[in-house]
Amino acid sequence: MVKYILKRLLLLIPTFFLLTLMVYTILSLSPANPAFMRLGTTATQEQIDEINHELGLDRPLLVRYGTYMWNLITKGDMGVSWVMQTSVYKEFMERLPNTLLLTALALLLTTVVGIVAGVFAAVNQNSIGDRTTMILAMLLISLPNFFLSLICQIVFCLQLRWLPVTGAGSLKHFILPSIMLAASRIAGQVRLTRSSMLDVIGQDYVRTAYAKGCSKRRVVFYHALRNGLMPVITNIGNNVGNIVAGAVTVETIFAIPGVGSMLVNAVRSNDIPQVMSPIIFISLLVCVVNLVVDLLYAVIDPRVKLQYR
Amino acid sequence: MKKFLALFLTVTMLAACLTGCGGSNNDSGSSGTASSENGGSKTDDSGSDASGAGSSESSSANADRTLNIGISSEISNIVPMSNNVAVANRDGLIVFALYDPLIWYDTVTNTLSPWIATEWSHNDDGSEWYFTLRDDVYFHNGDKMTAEDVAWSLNLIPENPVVTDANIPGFGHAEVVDDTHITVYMDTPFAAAENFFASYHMVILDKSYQEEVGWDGYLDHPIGTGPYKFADRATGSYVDMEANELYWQGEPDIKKVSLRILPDANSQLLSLETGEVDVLQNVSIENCKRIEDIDGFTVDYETAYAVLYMRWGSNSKLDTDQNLRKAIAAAVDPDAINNVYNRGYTKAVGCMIAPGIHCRPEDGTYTPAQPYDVEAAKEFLANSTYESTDVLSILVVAGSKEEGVCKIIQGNLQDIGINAEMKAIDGSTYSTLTGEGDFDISLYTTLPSLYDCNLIYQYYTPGTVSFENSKFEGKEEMGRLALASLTEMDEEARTDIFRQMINIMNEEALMLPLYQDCNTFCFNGDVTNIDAIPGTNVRIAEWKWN
Amino acid sequence: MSKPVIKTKNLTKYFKTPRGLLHAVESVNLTIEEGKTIGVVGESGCGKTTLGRVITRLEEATSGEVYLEGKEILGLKGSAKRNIYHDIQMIFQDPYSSLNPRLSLGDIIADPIETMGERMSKKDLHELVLSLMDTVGLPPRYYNQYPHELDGGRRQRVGLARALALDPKFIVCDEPVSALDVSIQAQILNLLMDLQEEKKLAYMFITHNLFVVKHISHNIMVMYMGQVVELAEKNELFAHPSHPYTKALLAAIPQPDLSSRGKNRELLAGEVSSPIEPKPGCRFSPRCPYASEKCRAGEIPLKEIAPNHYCVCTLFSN
Repeated sequence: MVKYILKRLLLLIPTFFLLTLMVYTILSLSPANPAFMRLGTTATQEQIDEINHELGLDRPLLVRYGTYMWNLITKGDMGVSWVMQTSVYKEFMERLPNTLLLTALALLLTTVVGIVAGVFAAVNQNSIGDRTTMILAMLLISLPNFFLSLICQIVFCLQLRWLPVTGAGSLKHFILPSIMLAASRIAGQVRLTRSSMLDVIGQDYVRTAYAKGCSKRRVVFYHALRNGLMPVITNIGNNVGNIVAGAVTVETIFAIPGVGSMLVNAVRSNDIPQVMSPIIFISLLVCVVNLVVDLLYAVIDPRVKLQYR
Repeated sequence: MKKFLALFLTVTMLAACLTGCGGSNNDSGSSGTASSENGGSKTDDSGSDASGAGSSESSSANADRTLNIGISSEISNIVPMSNNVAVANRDGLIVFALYDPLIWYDTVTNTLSPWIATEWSHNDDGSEWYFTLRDDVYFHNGDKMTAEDVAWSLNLIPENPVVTDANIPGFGHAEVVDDTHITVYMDTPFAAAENFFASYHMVILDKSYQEEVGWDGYLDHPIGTGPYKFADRATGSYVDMEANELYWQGEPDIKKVSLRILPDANSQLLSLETGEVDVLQNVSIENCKRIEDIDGFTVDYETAYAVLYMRWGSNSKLDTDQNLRKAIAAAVDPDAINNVYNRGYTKAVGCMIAPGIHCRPEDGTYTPAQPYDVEAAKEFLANSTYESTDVLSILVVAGSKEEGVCKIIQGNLQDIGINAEMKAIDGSTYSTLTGEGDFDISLYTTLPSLYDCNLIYQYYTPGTVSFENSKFEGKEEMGRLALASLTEMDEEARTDIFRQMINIMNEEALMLPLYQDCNTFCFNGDVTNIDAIPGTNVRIAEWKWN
Repeated sequence: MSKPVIKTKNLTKYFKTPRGLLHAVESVNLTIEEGKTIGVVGESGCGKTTLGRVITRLEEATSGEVYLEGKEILGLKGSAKRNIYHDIQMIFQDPYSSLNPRLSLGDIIADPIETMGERMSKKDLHELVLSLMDTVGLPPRYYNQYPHELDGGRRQRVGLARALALDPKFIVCDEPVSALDVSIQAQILNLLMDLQEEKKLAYMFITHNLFVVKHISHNIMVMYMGQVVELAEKNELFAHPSHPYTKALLAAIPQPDLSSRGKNRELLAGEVSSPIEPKPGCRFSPRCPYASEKCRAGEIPLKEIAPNHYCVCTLFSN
């Protein structure tokens, strides 16, 4: 098992480098030149050359990438924003807690609500409750995030005055954004949990459990859920990636200063150092979460565990 | 796959609904109310000179209340001159809250008035400027502002080439004369130097504080002499400020101000409605109309000095084909854009500089831009090198209001048989492409940050990439005039130079001015004395609780 | 005569299908005595598994009654319903899918005790599970293993241990050996019989394997399309099969005796007719060589044609 974890961790390294190199290259391919961004239309060639030199843009791509990664790994230095001339690390660290809180809440919501509703729908298959749950899920999946957010802002913030529209000051500010972020994921989670549970409920060992005299609750939670949750757990790994990606829009709509909105702004201004840190964060997060999910899988499923011995 | 298709269809339908609604609103919007609105907004006293000094204390109920102002993007540079990053136009609100310039430029009356400098003058050839400074100005940390601070601040200019070369060509250095006097030495004279000293490019910073904390420390906690003290900031979220009780004009009425960054237009609107923010700056006209319809909210409109215009790329066939340029100029209907798209809140303009700006020739004294005339446009087009297979690219910044304008222009061009495609790109790519000239048409709104015609000079400065790339025959003449406009200290002679340049630009259709933009403030009933002004140096210090 | 553990009265189960009611079990009356085994035979789909599941209340009966030691159990609800599992347990056909793959053997065997049995300490529970494992011949080292690590025979022992955990009086064995190798089948059958002797268990043994049923049962019940067609003591049945279906069934047994080769064997013609909304009368009649008008006329009563030998056929009704 330890060997397996080590192997997976080692695999993270080439993944990480390949990914960052790809992002760096793609960003560098953009026609946008940061010198023009700063100098405007009055730029002379000397000024452009000077800024390109200052930013190191006159060096080959691989050298730039290498320097960036070297500084990042050895010194934790994320460089200086090309547009704002401020420390990327400082801004990133300022914004990180907001994104972490937002995505953690959204993930929690997705998982808890998704599983509970999915199990409920599966246990009461074809009942009105099941149908309602599935229609709601379909609705959530089909409504675009920004549209749903707008409707909820109007209802909960403007009409009912329960929640603030924007900002990130208190936990209250995160309620609506995390729900919006979770919305479409919840739908997927409900559907997956439901079908997975239905699959399990039809299994012989569930019938066996009834024959043992287990109550319905024990059958669902002790016997069926353990098996039904396997694909669901795998999905949590995928959800993390999706949720962090979704945070980009939600943070903008709800004016939450997070890593996602930092990424949006940075991409708009083609500010490579500013783009790299959120991308690295997101990719590392997804990699690590998927690793954790895989390990969790092994812990929960004795059959998988056997393979890692 | 089916699910994906369903999702896709839903999104498309929603999008169609949304744009459909927007379109119909635009069509039904009435026009012609602009002039009355603009007139109305000027009725309050907007004089900024010394009247602020005796501002009366407002009701104590609001003493602890924070005024929340919604702005749409992050502050580009909270400490002007701290590094080689230009301050953006939209940052006037915060720059003039935290800092003071040497001279104040009133964009309503277009006059300069004493500010940190009580008096100023220059020698005959404009190579030396003499400033007399106030003796009662203190920085937010309690340090007294000295001539040393002012001279030091001025001497930061050469360290920041973006600010220097673009906005005060020929600046040499500043020297302290005595406690209240400094002299600025110019290597070559610059006719609009006064305006530069009144702009957001140049504010007074605290020398000893900078030496103590360095620029990183300064950016973390900026210190100025302005009416508001920096309190707190979260990148991408807010900047909090508190009234400066030591302010030389007296403490402002509103004690606590928070600038809150709300990138999403709908969220801005909702935040105003729920009272999370009290004021919104430069909301789209469409949203302004919506706010006007809600009880308890006021919208103030003011024609801005920012002008939207079309330019041609220096590598495009438009650069050398006068007839094609004129065909486009005659085909585009600025009135339609004004009245339909902007509902009459923007104003037609005869050249790329708004009237009233320093050294801008009066309307009627220069050749106006090519008027809208479809027949003439068709004739020009017939004589041009345009072939029916050509597709002209129109560059706009994605998500900007220019995107909407571009769609109308595409229609106008289609009417005379020109195919144009819109390229909506990010701001950075836009700057690069327009700088390098790899496009046919670009749409952009610019404000002369010095409130001077030197914007024209900037486009025709020999040496810039776009100038060098251009193959336009008359460019040498334009370059010569541009350089002459820099150093001509006589206002009338300088106005004449710009008149000549504008004449050439309009006769040759080198640019097509479309309209003067509209500045707006939307606010709730709790605040008063808020006026939209044509410029960006808005003073929160003048606002009051109701 | 020993006392009856299970008695059913007109036990009927219909399933709703889109094409109408599926008559899975039709008016079954049977009695199972303490320490005795009743073998239920019939081809696939004849309703024998459903019968077992209706008696154990895994399916709800459409009508009829089931008496557990004289007490009606079909009307019980809630915890009273679940309490029947103290006395009634079931062993399933497929030892692979009927064990929860996520639970260790110890957990699987302890599960019924934890849900139904007396509260006991972890240690006592552990002891109890180990003794159950010992009873079915599983060494203690399997306690922490998972079902996928075991072969089919051992898994079925786990199923048996689990069924015995609550010390029941009656076990429905639903084809418990059909998925196993022949050599292992015998082990499991012998284990079942040893346990019966020891604990006075009553079994209902559902199978399509006539050798197995002959080996283990005391009485045999033959079913065809939900109906009981013949019921007799096993030797009597094998010696004097009376119902044409039973005859055909027994004739289909491969004979190791070569001398009987070429002898005319009574084999069935035709297809099993649809169990959905069946016509009245004998359901075997479409395939029966002796069928007459009477067979399709209406219900045919169960007739005792010899002591303890019952048959449902018009051949004996007069």
